[in-house]
Amino acid sequence: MSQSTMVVGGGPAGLQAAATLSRLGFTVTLVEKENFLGGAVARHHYQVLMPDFSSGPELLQHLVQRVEKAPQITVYTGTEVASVFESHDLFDIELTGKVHRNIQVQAVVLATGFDHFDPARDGKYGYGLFPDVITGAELEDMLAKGPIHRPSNGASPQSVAFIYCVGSRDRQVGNTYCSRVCCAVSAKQAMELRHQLPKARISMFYMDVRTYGLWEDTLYWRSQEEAGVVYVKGRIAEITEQQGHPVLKGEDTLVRGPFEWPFDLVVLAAGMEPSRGTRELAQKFQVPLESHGFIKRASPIQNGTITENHGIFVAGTASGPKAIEDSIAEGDVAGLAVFEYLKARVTL
Amino acid sequence: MAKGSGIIERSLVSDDQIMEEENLVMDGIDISGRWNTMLKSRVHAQPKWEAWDTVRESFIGSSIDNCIQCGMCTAGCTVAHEISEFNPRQFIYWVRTGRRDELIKQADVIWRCVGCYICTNHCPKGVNTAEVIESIGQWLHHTVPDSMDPAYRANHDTYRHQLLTYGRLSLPRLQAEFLNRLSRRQELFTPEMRKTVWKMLRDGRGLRTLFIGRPRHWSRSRNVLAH
Repeated sequence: MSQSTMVVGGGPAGLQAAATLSRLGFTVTLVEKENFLGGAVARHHYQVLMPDFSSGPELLQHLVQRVEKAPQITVYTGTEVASVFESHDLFDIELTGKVHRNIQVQAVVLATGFDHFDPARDGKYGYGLFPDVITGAELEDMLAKGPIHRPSNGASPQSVAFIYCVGSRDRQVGNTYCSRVCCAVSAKQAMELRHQLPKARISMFYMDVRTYGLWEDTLYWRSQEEAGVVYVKGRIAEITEQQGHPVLKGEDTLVRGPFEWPFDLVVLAAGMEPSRGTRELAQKFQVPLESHGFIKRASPIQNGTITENHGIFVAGTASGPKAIEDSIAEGDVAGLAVFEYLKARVTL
Repeated sequence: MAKGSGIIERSLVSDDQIMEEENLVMDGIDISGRWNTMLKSRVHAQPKWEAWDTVRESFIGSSIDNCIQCGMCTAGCTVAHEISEFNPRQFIYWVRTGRRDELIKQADVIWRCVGCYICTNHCPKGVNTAEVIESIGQWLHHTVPDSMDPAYRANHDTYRHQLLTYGRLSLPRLQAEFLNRLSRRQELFTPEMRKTVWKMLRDGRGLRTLFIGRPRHWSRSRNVLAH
């Protein structure tokens, strides 16, 4: 009898974990609460991915087709985990939603992902109040669906500001961690904007630019050298509106002195938070959370996908902010960790 | 009465923040002196971009967009260690953030660059800092020509004039024109100068200075340069 496993969450990490588990000979049930697969990549219609400017739809097609073609994988979309009963290393899982069913599995990979920080929670940015203040995810939508425009009047923006660290690295909103990818994603978005808006002023308001590793020159430097993007050091204290334009109020910490600069369009690089699903499922599967609210990894250096509850594994942003490439890599690692875990149990 | 003398804690406010008209009558009411004192806000609200457009489109300033504001240029700068206002990193930042007001205050200071190129050699991003600063200086010279110190301006104009006229530079001619432009002609006739002139006449340098000549077809090159 083949051993049965479950992957919760159908984003890049979950899709990769399911594909790997099926190739290793396990039966896989993939549960996704949305009616579509692909996670954030699908939800916000990412067309161009950070860091290599590859195609979002192509990546999705690759990940989803592999899962749908594998006979050992059963995909339930529009379905959630209602309850979990654990006994003798067996998980009896009740599904609810489109599919009502009880399933017994021996191992579970949680790939429940992240939610974008909702900037409306941080009143200083005027998000929700000023139509020309949008989030990075909304900009991705705009890039996918049509010309870049100011939501207030439909005009093409002549100046665009990106505000970094929205909902990240900020005790006031309760998130003291760095979301890792927003700097690089914003640089990527600025470069995409440059193609559509050759004359626009594009400014980035940052505290540090954390385009770590290989992204330093390929994203940060390139955005300046090739796209003429200006980086202004200083976090924005407040956005107001004057004559229909959002006005950014901040301190230029490199040359000292306050500024109030108007822009046509303001993009908030909102960070990542543990998704609602991550928090709920951690409780149902009795997996402890670490101090920031993400799923705690038992020994992150040895294997980043093993949780403190035997048989429960984690992949992708459920255990902390991550780029898509890292999430997919973790999907693989989680698959192998499940393999090691179940194989060890059979032989003992 | 000194400007701003009506402000009680005067020492807390810098001079250029104070706006005060000595004689002012408004609607028939005399509000001279302290009655019209106002403080300028420190908030910068009107970025102006001509400097950035000019510098990045110039041949010598085109690498300005490479700058990541690390400060290695200023850290190694020969001049910055003596003159606090001379800060190449800051000049570049002001250009890119539209701080025309701040740049104009440094229209003279920016020419203190000694051209040692340490900044260019240090730059981890491949900015030709020395020449970017030169480009910013040229923009300033063009925008606020009168802000340059008369000696620097005379020096600048002398080199330009000599080069365009003769296609080559000669130190005695430069010296003569420079002092002439500054109305300091008498310095050419000091005892040391006389000695030098005799020496030059004897060893032939005098003739070479008087008959400096021009490169072949110099006018064509000059047209290109002047353009």
